[in-house]
Amino acid sequence: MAATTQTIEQVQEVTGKYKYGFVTDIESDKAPKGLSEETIRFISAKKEEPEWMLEWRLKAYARWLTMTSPDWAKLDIPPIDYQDSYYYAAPKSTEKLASLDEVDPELLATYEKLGIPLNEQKRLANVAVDAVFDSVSVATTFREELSKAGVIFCPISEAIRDHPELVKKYMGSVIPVGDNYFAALNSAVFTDGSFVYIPKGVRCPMELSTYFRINEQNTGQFERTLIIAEDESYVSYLEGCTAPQRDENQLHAAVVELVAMRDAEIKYSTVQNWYPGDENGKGGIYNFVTKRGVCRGARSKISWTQVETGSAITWKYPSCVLQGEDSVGEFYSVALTNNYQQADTGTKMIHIGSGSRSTIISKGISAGKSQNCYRGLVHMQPTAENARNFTQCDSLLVGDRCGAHTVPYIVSRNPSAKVEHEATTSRISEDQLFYCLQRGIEEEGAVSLIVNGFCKEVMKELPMEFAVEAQKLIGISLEGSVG
Amino acid sequence: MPALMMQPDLSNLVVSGPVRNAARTAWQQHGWPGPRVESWRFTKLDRLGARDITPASSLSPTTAGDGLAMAQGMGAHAIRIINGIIDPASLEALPTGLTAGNLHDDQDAQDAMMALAPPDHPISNLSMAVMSGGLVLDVAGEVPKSLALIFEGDDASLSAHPVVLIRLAPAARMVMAEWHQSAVGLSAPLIGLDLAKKASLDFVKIQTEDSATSHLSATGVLLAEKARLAGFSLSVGGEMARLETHVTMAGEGADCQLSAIYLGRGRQHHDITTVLNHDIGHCTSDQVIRGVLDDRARGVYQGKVRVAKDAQKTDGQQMSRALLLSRKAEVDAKPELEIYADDVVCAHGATVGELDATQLFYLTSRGIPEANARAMLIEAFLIDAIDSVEIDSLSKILLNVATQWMAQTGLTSHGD
Repeated sequence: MAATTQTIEQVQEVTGKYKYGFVTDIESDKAPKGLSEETIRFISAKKEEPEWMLEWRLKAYARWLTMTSPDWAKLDIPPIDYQDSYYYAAPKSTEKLASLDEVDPELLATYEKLGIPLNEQKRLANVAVDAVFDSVSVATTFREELSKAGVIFCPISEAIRDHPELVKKYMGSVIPVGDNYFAALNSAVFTDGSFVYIPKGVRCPMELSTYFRINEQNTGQFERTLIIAEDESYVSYLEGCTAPQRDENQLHAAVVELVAMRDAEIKYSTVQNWYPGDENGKGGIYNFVTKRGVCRGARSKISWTQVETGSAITWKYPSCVLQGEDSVGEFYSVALTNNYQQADTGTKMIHIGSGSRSTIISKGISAGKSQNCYRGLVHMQPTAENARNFTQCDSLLVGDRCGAHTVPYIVSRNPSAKVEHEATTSRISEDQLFYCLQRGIEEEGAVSLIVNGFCKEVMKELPMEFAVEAQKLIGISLEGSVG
Repeated sequence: MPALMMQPDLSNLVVSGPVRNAARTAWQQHGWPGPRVESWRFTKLDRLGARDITPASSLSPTTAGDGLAMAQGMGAHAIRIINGIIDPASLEALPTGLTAGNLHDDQDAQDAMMALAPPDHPISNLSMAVMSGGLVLDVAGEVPKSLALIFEGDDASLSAHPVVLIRLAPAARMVMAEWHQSAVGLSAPLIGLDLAKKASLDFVKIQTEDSATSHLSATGVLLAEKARLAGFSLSVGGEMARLETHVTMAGEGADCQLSAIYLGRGRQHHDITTVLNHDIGHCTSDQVIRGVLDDRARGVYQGKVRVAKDAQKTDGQQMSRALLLSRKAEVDAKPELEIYADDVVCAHGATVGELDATQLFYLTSRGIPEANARAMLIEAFLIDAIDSVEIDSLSKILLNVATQWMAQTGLTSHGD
């Protein structure tokens, strides 16, 4: 059927031909290849970390050695040789820079190509960018403006140095070092990431944004992000990912921890567009991410929004632990897979507090020979009096060689808690297409319109800055007319 | 994955024939699934680990239970399986169209049984190897009388491992009831239903075992072109029960309805697990699941609908709803869609909660005492599912058992 072919083409255009596939040539300062206690000591020394941090890392490493890679996901993961990877790579100039002029021009050119507003435009866009290039943050902007509001937004390595009491208190409090295989690995070798602290009663004056970029060949990225929102505060955090084209598989195991206190709200949005491998399934990023937020205080709220189009393998379940009374957890997700991509993604909503509420909206689009799986848990603990969950998972199949799977887990131990789950799987309906066509909309436009509509519930949750890029990635604005 | 629990050893068991020997070898290798096996994450078999497998050696007479009364009530021919052994007397004077054979001596049928049996299910291997009783029933034409398979038993030290293969010839039609009411320690029936082209089977399965019995049943179903299966399971008995059914639709136009109700109280554990394989296109499946849990009971529903590559025009529907009546009850649900074809309509829904407060208010505001109103709503909740059963004699059985359970649980919809 022509429309299907067209949709396949559109999807290919978005995910197949990877337009961010370029490599920046900067000599890097690498840790010895392979993973050992020595590597961890090297990373810790390189980061000029205090002793307690090194000990924390070594403890995590010891835990990791006793663990095995999880095998329950619907993923076919080739064996990963953890000794065949570099765990640290820093751009050559690591000294602190006073202004953008001092940043390696090649680096700046890379950002330019990615469209990161790291120049004056950023002021207009009102975006502070903590740009992580490979593993070391080289430029942080708008720091001053943020610090006026009392907001701390800095690389995590800096936070370890400057705010050890906060890091000690919160790091690992949401995701313990031994939480899972990949979190343990991250805890041992994490190189950088962001640290955000919003003091009591502060509404963060701008959207915080970090662009992650995997650049050095054979360097896994182990980001570690920690966001703490004190009572009555608000922050919106944007994470966007692009990476240059590679032949070899690259490992990424990030950890993101969010803590929301009483009446605080954290909105965390992600656009993930790492190299997905070529049409034959060669190469691509392996993305094993542990993201979890805890709503500690009453009426706190954590909202995850993600648009996942990249990576050869995605293993990612941004979760909410709803501890506080009347706390709210949200998960909005669009996951698009094409060619030989595999995605196993979803969320966990752990309801502990009475009156806690959660909403899960997941839209999966599979094309090519890809496999796309939603896996989610809704757990109502005995204390979750009058808690509510609503889950909707829809899958759209494009072409007849792909797979779409839905694996929800529901555990309820409180009779007053209400759980509702619904899931559908279908392809673009002929009726919808026909309806559009007979009203004079071209087939191409009709497909865009339908896919657009399919994802709309999630896309509308994205901050403006991201919505445009995300829609591009999803392919609904391929002709520049829709979206 | 190696199991991390005690495993009964079958090496001294006398087993004849290659199929049963292979089953024994597989059992010795895998045993009971350990706590980390995904499909058994909600139902732990720890306590079975310490249990020896002790099949009955000979047929002992037992007093007839409710099963026979049920069979008489529906005018069915009853085949009795006592402590896992087939009562040969009940194979006499079978209704027209039914032929019985001995599975022990039939290698081909054993092969066919293993092809049907749920793969990777411990009972598939265990009961095939032990086979305390083996029966092959061939069905041709329209069977004028319904069939009742009554699984009885009175000895808690025994484990029952009956294996029953039922083959419906092309265009054969039958109505059947499976009644499980035994007091054996472990009741582990392995059942195969092979429906040829245009064959049709309506059946109910009532699990009303003794309160100390562990019930683990494995049922495998194969549906050929335009074959039709309408099955309904009701699980109320036993201490721990798992009713697992695997259906493979191998011919176009096959239709499968597979519904279930589980009713739990005390510390009961009920597990309904279904796997529906749409191997070929143009087939339909529909599942309606209802659960009511009181006290500290736990209910599990796992339902997987798998649509193979090229199985276009598949329609797979699944809806599970559970009611929690007590603060200590727990429900676990895992409805699952695994889809490899694009031109399909598949959906599932799942809800868990307590009775709807507005419905309750509606009834009480009209003068109905709250206890009665609650019972009324629960009754309606169950009848909603039972209503899909087309054969009156079968829906009557379901309704009787459900009503009885409600009365025992202290739920009455009419004033005293």
